[in-house]
Amino acid sequence: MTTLTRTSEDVAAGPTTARRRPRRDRLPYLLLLPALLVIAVLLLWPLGQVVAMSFHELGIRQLRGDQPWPWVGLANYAEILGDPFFRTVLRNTVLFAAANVVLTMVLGTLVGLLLNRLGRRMAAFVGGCVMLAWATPALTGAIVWKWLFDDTSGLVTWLFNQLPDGLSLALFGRTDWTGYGWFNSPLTFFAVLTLVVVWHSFPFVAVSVLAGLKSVPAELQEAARVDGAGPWRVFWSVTFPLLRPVFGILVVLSTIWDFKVFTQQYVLAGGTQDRSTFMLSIYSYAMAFSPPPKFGMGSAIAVVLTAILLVVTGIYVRMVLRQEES
Amino acid sequence: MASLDTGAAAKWRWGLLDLVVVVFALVPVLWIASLSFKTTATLTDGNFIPREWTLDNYRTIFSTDQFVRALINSIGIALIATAIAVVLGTMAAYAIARLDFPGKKLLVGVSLLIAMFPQVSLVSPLFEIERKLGLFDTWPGLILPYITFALPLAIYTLSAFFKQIPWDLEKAAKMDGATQAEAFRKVIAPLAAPGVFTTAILVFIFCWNDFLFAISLTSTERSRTVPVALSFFTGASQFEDPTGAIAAAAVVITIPIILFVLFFQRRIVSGLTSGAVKG
Repeated sequence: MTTLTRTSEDVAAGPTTARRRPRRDRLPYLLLLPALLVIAVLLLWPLGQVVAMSFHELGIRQLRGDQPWPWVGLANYAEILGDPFFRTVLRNTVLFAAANVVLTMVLGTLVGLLLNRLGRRMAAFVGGCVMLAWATPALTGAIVWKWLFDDTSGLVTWLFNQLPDGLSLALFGRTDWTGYGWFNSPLTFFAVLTLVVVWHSFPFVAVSVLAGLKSVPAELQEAARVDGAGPWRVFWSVTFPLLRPVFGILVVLSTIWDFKVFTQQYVLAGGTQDRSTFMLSIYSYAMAFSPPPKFGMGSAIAVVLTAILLVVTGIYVRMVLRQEES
Repeated sequence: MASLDTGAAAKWRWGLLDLVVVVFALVPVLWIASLSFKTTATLTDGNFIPREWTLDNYRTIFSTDQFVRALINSIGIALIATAIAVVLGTMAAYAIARLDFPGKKLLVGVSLLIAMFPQVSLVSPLFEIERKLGLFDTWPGLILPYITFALPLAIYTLSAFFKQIPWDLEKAAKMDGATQAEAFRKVIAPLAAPGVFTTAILVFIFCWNDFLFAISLTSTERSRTVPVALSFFTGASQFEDPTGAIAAAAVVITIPIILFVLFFQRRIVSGLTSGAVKG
C-alpha cells in the first residue's frame, strides 16, 4: 500500500494532471443530476408542505376527507409563541441539549485520550466495546436502559439497594429503592434520559478525538510533559489548541443531535402522555399525532425547531468547509 | 509525571479505568442478551448470567408472523434504500471528487445541511402526502424518506473517501498499456470499493435503526419494520410477559449492526470521522 501511495504522489506531481478537455464540461452535471433531482423532490416537497400546513388549521376532518383547509395565517405561530408551555418545552430542550453536549464531550474526550495511550490491541478492544454502544439501535438502547432502571428487577435499583443504608439516607434521603419510580419526576426522568443519550453518543466523540490525536504529532505533548507539565496543563495548552477545530465540530454536531432526540424519550416516557418532560421534537410529534391531531400546530412547532437547527447546522457546515480548505 | 507510566500500581489504575469504560459501554448490551436467554420464571431474578438457559424466546418470536414479517420488511426496505442511495451517491461523489465545476462547495455544504435536518419536521407533511398518494404503509413509503437522508450522507462520506484515491494511477495503468476499462476495473474499482462499502454500511445502519419514520408512516404488518413491531410486542398471549420476547427481538436487530462494527470497526470509524476530522 505504501508503494502504491508513493507512486501516485510522483505521478500527481507530474505535468499531466490539471488539464481538462472541454467535452467533459457537462459530465459533472450529468452525474449529479439524478441525486439532485431525487433530493429536490423528496426533500423540498415535504418541506414546502410543512410550511404550508403550519399556516392552516388542520384537524382530523381536514386530513380524512376532502374538507378544505382553513387558512389561519400566522395564528398557529402566535398561539405557540404566546403559550407559556411552549416556553417550558423550549427551556427543557435547550437545558437538556446543553447538559448532554457538555457530558458527552467530557466523557468522549476522556475516553479518546485513554484510547490514545493504550497499546494497539487493547485500544482496538476497548474501542470495539465502545463502538458497540454507538451501534446499538436507539430503540434497543432505550428499552434496555428502561429495564435497567426498572423499579423491582432493574440492575440500577439493585445497585442502589446495595449502598450502605447510612450513605444512601444521607445522600438521597431513602434506603429502600425498590418501587422507586425513576420516570415519574421530570428531574430523574431527564437524568436517566441524559445517561441513555450520553451512552449512545460518547463513542462517536471518543473515536473522533482519537482520530484527531493520531493526526497531530505526539512529540509536542511529549515535550510539554518532559518540561514538567501535568496532564491537565498538557491537555489545555498543547492538545486542546491543536484539536480546536475537531472539538468545535464535535460540539456543534452533538448540539444538533441532542436537539433532535426523539426515540429514547419516546421509549423511556412510554409514548407521548408525559407532557411535563416534553422537548421540541416530541412536542411537535405529539401535537400532530396524539388525539386530537393538530397538524397545523405540529407543523408550526416543526418549523420553529427546523429554523433553530438550521442556524446551528449552518455553523457546522461552515466549520467543515473551512477545515477542508486548510 | 513520568511516574504515571511506570510501576505496577499505575498499570492497575489504567487497567481499572479501561474496565470501567468497557463495563459502562457493554453492560446494557450484555443485559439484554442475558434477558433474551432467560426463562419466563427467572426473567426478573436480577441475575446477570441466566440460571436456566433457554432458546424459547427466540423460538417464540420466529414463530410469530408479526416478527418475521417485520424482519423481512426491515431487511428489504433498508437494502433497497441503501442500494439506491449508494448508487446515486457514488455518481455524485465522483463528480465532486474528480471534476471541477462551479458550485461544488455549495453542493457539499447542502448535503451536510440535509443530512443533519431534523427528521421529525418532515413526519407530518410526509404522512399527509403519502396518504394522498397511497404510499402510506407501503415499502416505498419508507424507502423514499430514508433516501432523502441517506443520499446526502452517502454523497458527503463518499466524496471524502474518493478525494483520497490516487486517481492518477488510472493514467499510469493506461500508459503501461491497459485499456480504459481495464484501468478502471483493475486499478480504480479496488481502490474505491472500500469507501463505497463503508458508506453502504453507514447508510444501512441509519435505515435499519430508524424508529421515527417507521412508527409514523406505517400502520400494519405490511410495512412495519422491526423497531416498530418491537414497540408493539405484547407476547404470544396477552397474559404472557413480553420482556423475554422483546429482548430476543432486540438482540436479533442489534446483531447485524454489531457484526458490522466488529468486522469493519476501523473503516466505519474512518467514515464517521470524515465529517469531524480531516481524514
